[in-house]
Amino acid sequence: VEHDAVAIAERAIGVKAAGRPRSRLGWTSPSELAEYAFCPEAHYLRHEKGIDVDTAERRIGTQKHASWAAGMGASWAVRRFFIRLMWIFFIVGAAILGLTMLGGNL
Amino acid sequence: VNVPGRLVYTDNGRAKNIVSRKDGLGGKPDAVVKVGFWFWADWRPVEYKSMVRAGAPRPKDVIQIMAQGLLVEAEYGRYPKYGYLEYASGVHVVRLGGRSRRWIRKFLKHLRRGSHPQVKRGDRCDVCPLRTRCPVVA
Repeated sequence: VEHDAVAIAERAIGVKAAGRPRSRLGWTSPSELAEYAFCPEAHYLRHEKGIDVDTAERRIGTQKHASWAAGMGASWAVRRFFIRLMWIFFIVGAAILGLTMLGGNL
Repeated sequence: VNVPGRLVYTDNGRAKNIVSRKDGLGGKPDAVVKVGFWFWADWRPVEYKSMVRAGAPRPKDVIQIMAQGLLVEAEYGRYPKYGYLEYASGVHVVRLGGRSRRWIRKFLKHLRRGSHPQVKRGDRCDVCPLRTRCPVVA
């Protein structure tokens, strides 16, 4: 059976969102995008608050997408900030180590 | 794979994450099959769903496969003309193509801006397991 993707999607999507959703859609996967498109609130509860859909209970660190940051209720902006901070530490650390080794040889 | 074409990608755990920087998308389609060759080649995403679905495919799954098309485009250079949704009850062929590509890109832009159209509410909130925690329903 052949179906037209745009026709199905347009039939389902129709009503404008009442307000700005609480969670922001940053870098995402197709499945997360589909979930967000259908209910940003469910996406917020699952991904930002770490609440499991099956039990509607808060579970930290056991979910597929839940990380320590999600467990803390951190937003993507906070997560991105920490990831960048980690990279900066790594690069600066490597540079210091490199310079120290170079200095020792000179 | 119960769909026509040659299997070129499968999410077997070791499969690489396909990334589309332009669209801010990344992920692993369940499978990608190649149909046709050379100029006529079409790389089609395949998505498996364990549920039984007799009529039309779920709109959520259709949006997912449209977005997977963007990943296929990033990896193989061409947005697919078709995609496959394989439910336990059978395979649904979903027509994608240029119109679908433009639609999903526009939709993604709307979502990121926060001015996106939302799915009609209907009965889905009544059966949502998160309703006890949802400020919208409560």
